Amino acid sequence: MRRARAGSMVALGELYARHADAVYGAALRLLAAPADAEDVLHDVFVGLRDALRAYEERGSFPAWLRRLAVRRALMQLRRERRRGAPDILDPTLDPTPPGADPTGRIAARRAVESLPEPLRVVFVLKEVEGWSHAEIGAQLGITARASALRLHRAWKQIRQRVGMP
Amino acid sequence: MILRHPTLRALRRFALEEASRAERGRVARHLMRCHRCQARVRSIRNVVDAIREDGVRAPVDFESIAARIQAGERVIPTAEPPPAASPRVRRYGATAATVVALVAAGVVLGVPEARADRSELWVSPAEPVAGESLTLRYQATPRLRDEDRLVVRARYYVAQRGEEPRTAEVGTLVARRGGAFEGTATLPDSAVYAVLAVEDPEARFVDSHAERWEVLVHAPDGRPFLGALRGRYMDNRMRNTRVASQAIRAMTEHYPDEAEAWYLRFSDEASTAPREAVDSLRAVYRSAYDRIVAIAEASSPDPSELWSLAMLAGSMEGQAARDRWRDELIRRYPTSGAALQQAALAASSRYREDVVRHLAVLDSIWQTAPDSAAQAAFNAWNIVQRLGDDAGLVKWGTRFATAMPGAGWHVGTVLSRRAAAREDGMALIREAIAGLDGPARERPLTLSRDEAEAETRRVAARYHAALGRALLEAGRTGAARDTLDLAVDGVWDPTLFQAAADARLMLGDTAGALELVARVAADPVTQPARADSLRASLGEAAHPDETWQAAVEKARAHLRHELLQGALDRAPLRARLRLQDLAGQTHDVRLADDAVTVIAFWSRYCPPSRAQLGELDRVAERLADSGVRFLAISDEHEAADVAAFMDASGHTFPTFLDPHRDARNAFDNRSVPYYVVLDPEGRIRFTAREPGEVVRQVAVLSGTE
Repeated sequence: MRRARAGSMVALGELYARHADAVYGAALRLLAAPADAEDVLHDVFVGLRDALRAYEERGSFPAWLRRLAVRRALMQLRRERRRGAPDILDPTLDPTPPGADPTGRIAARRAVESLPEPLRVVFVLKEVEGWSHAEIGAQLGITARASALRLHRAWKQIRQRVGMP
Repeated sequence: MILRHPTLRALRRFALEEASRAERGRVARHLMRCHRCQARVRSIRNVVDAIREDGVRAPVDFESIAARIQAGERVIPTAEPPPAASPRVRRYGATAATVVALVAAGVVLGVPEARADRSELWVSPAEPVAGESLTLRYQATPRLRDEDRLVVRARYYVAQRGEEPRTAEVGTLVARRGGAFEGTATLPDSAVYAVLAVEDPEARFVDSHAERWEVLVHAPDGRPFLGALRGRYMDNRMRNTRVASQAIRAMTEHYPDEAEAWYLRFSDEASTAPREAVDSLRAVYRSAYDRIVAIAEASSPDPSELWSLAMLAGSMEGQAARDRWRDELIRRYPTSGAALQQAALAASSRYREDVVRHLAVLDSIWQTAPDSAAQAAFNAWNIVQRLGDDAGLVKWGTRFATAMPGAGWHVGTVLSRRAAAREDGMALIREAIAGLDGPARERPLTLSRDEAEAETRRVAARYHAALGRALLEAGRTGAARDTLDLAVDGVWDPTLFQAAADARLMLGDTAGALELVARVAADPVTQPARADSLRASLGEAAHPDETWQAAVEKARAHLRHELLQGALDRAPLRARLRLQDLAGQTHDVRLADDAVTVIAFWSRYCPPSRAQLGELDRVAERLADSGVRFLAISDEHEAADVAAFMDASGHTFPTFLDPHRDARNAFDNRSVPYYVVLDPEGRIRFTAREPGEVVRQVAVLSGTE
């Protein structure tokens, strides 16, 4: 950590080797766009030296890094929203061939990816990142109650898309 | 009666363990009757598991990042600072002011070093087909980071039911940068399920990650093989019941027409359901059972399928239904292992009172196909032990030891206690001792070479102790002394020391017995009164006092040496535990506490663990008297239930719940009984399976042995 703060490329490389997948994965789940998630990955690690100055070594470093990645991803979303970017999911994606998704994991991931962005963001922040509704609300500028409502609507849509009984 | 289904929100809270106790109970009772809501809960968990799966790989190397940094690029940090603590810590942890004060005082709250102990193994493809080569990426634990090459081993199961798992080396890893390794592995062709571990080429250290790195081989249609799911269940049923239950549920989902899958699932769910709910379970399974019976009636099931159907029918409809399929199996496939086993079980219920007839039937089953008649040998061995018939004991004991090679020592010990069967018993024990050196003995997946050798020495000591006692009983005292002397070094086993001392005393060698008796007296588990009577048994040899004290001091040094040889020195994966006491209060427990700490994982539902609870009371009291911190951790979730059990059973040891799984994660432990001993700096020095071992370990660590 000290070496990374001081700018050691070897130390930063070690942190990258250990945490890049988790950072990329966190961004991809929120953004559902590999190119945007790659931007977040770059931004997090290029800016890590500076960001580490604010890291007080309380709690878990991987969890701190994930929150950094999540916040950068949310910034990216706000930027995209201002630019009026189209909704992400390509409707012409091939459906999963029968029998190729016996555990339903692919269908579940697609169901989440295809949620409208306001619902998907709340779903990922709550169910994957473990944020409370109060934190989500503070980050997104909505009330905790609104966050809970969006989560419920997300689950209702997922239920239809995965064919939950 | 119209069922009122829980709302989607309530099912979500239940599935993700966010429900209150009352809601959890209501939903659980509903799920016992409602197949549709069960499916919804599974679906919710499936969605969350799918989205949480860590399967993505960063698409770029560090080089492109480094190039941007070296080009002088800067990224403006995000406006708000990261939150002061994660939601859970905020609920239970110190206030911000206290946090600052603690940091200023140099107390580390999170331990990056502890996190750095975390290793990870990625396997690709995640769902391989048979014979497919696996690509592996491994982020090494610090203990292995400096190696150039690592070895990957597997404990694997084959498709056929009833086969024991095997262990084999399956691949290698080559070092890359930053503690990362890459390589390939290939499972044996017959393997359908494997648990992986990584070790250095000399097997000095094994990273098995609590046996959670697993591979399930898939069929071409994309389903995991039935044998793979069965292997997953068998491997986890004693150490991780949640994974074991998941494996069984997956069996019924992927193979809805397999009787075995439903039989295992029914047994699993019925074992944890209230008695009055078992009939409701049968109603839930009815349609699957009817379908499977219809398929069996229209086709020709093989022996294994008929066996499973007989067991399922017995669970669903009782003895008559079971017997129908059992008789069908015996009629169609009379010499198959499955049929012979069912015939032996049938004889148990049919000839309960007529022992002579019972043994005759088991004898005829054995004669039909000895290679497949293990159940008959086992049942007969139990009968002859009750009868105490020497000839029968030798006959069936030898057969049982042949059918189950690992049972040789046990059978030998039983036989050697009876004068007429002693020589046969000793022969079996000698065979078991010889088998310890055999090439066929596989090193367990999770043990290093040294640990496996230490375990073999411990097992050998037990076998030698049994043989030595038998020789003493036979009056062959010199041979007994020599046999026992082979075993006394390299282990700490007071029972063995006592037997070896007895042999020397019988030969009149009191001086030779002194060292061994002193070891028993010096053992921290030995009560002072017993130590005195042990000294008295030596007469003059234990006098004057200086002689006895010197022997006891030497014994203590031997104990220290034996225990410290096998001592660990490892940081736990968490430095603090959030535990809940039985009054519902949460405690923030630092593992580094300037005192030796014992963590005891226990469960009232595990028979070996439950059997130790009485001793745990005594040990807890004794440790408290000597300033050792003792924390027992129950595997349950409801404080009131555990409190009621403690009150009713009269146990007094201090116990906590582990609602955030901090203790389980800190020590990577899912099994009970299990004990961890930490030094005052909070580092793991010993682990144990029995309270007696813990007493010795604490004594050595505290310097009070």
